[in-house]
Amino acid sequence: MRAVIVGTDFIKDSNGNYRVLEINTNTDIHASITDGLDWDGFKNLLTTNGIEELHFMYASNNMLLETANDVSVKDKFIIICEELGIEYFNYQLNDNTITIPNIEDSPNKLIIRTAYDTTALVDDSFAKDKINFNNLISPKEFSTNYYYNSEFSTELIHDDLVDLHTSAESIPNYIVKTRFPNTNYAIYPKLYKINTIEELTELKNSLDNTEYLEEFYTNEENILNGKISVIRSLDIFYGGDLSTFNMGVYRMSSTMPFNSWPTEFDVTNRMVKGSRPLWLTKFSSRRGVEYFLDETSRVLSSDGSLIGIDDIQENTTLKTINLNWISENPSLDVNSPDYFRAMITTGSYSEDISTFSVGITNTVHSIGREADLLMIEITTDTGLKWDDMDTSLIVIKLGDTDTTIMKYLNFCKVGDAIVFYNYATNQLESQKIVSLIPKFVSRKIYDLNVETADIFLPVVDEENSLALIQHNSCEFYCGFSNSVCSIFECQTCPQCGEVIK
Amino acid sequence: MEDKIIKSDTQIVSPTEKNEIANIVKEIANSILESVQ
Repeated sequence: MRAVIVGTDFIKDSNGNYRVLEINTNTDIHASITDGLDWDGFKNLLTTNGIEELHFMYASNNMLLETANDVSVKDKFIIICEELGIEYFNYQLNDNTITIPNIEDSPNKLIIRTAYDTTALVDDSFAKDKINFNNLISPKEFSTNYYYNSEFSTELIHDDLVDLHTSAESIPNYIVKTRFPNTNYAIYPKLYKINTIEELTELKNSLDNTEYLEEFYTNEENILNGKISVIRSLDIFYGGDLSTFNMGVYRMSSTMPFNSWPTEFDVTNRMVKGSRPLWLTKFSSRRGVEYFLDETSRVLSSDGSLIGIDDIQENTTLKTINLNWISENPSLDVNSPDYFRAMITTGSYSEDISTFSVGITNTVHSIGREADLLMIEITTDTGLKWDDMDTSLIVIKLGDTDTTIMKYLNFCKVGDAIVFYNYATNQLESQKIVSLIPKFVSRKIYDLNVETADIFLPVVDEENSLALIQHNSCEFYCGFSNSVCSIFECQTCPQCGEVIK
Repeated sequence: MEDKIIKSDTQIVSPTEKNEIANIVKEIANSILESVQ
């Protein structure tokens, strides 16, 4: 028996009615909700259908783990198969796969996937083509009101948007989406605040046949912990009659409370980039973007001078810091510290200040790119302030303890202390964090990769000669990650537990 | 789990809401099936 996990996204309109936004077959599943899914019902599905083999195919990005202790849907399948004496077969597929392995079907097999299959009707006709899907469900009360026009697909021309859909001040009322899967989250979807029928007509006329316009629905019930959320239903579609089994339904939110800062629109009534994180779960393409260095950043070079990020080239030598609690990694080059272990092993600040040493490391690459993204503004107890990325991995001192550790900024807390290298006095210093505030930025930022020691020393306070002790970007990074730290796509992250899928 | 500064939240919905949603999804599946018959 063949089956697919279908993720259906909903939102509630102002009248409390559910509206279907889209369906997905290449569905992300948050491990944080695994325990809340209907596993008794799933066991019943297996036993009543006489299943003896469970074959599970999934794109590697789809199991969204949060911590090392999280149990993914895949893990749960394995546990249940062991419990019921069912043989389990695992198929981890590439993220961008469009076909799946061919497994011979039989009544005693459940062949289930959460991965795109271009040969399947649900995928190719309805998950991939959102206008075709909207057209399918448009007579239903749970469909969205939308507008689409195309000279090539005249049978799909549709216009529900005759009257103005209104919303309170500063709340968007229309959204432009792409007909086919969106890969540019920095642009799409586009949110609008339309005030008149004339503006609505103008917006409709501006769309091309790759885009469509939908009413944007809001309801207080869509707010989770102050954040805009959508409802995701996970259902298994199975068998020739497309039976459904509902695994569970959950809300998933954007990353920022929607009132974190003002929502603003430009002269075309389109929401400005800086407001998008308040309203969308995905708002930028941060592929390959990891570290905070920007055009004004200077780094401590091997001769002790400060070198601008644009002047750093391959083989430029930079200063690094050695800490005796960061042991060597036996699988890497001789004398290469194991910084990943440094996220779970700890040192002592009182010992670090007398035992640390300064060394040299070599630049492998420095890559700059323009990015729109959330960063974190850090302020210390001296008033020192700078922006860094949530994925920045730095040496800190934990709270009021003497313990030092490498930590992602996104996991740091007010009361932790940043450990700096003072290049004027050749000493370590620490300053307590007094605030950590997320903010949206558009700027050119840089990845810097150094070897063999992965630590370099970017300067944050030239007046007082203070540099961060920061880990570089990693060669094994392979793109956008759904991991907590957004870096460790291909290995297990010792801090957050991500990610071997 | 360690709390994060920037994070998305998740929450399982109530059983009533789950049933309402599940019925809609069933209706969508039926519509898909009808589209090929």
